[in-house]
Amino acid sequence: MYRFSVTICFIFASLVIALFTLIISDNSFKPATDQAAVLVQDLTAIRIWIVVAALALYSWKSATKQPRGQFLAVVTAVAWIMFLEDYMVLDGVLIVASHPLAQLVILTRPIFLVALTYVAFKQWEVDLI
Amino acid sequence: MSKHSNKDPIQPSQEELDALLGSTSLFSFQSVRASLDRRSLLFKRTWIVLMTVTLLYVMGWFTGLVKPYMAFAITGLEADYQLHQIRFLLAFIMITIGTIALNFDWHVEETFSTMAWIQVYFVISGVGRQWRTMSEDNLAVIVIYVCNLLLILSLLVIVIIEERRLKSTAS
Repeated sequence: MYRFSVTICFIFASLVIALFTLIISDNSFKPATDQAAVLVQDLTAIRIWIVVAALALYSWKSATKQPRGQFLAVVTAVAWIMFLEDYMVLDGVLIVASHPLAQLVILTRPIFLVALTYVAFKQWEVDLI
Repeated sequence: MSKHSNKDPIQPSQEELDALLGSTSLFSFQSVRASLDRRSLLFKRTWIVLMTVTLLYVMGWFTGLVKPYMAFAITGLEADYQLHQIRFLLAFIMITIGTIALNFDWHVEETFSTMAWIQVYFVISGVGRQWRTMSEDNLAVIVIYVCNLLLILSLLVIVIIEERRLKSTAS
């Protein structure tokens, strides 16, 4: 179950990176106003760097067999906060085109959050033992 | 012989019962003051400053004093205002969680470390946003904004360091 959850997290991170690549290379992702466009650019850029940094750090910590319960707790908390920001606050701004990849990211996000939370709790348990 | 006598070898004494019941609780519930008393003076003072900053922020928010310093005041974008609102709420949730952790003396260092990293996220995204939206003549506003966020972050870092020091001296 742990490995399955980690796989879900990695798949989701890959989807987000692919979507970001698509956003910066495709002109079809256009928000309603210029200011909204700046906000989308800012938030997407920050999120993508967090995803890349988290993936790199997790891989490094796993490879070197370091405790990663604390790290995963931070990543989980930030992921939930970003989810809250996106869906409860920025719903009207983060206008994503009806692209299949964007839809896939939206659909898999709750699954990713549950999987990440499970991984964090499990890892915390392992670290304590 | 009395029915409740402690001379009965099977029946435990009141002291033994107290000791047994005292060790069964998962969390050592205590007041925040008692928890703070166990810690260093620096920890205590930092915690008080953190609470004061939070209180001042609440006062500033409800009196409208902080509004001109928000990205919303410059961009006029409703999303910026909502984003600020949700972060404001999250900060209070974090303060509550921190107080609960302190109250139960349960994973204080880990709780505050997580809070500090969330604050780092707020600093990076918030300052980045301000930098992009503010005009050049509003540099002072960005500086005040950065100082405010960094002050909270540094207070959290001091709390973490002090907690780590307490743990290392205790072990």
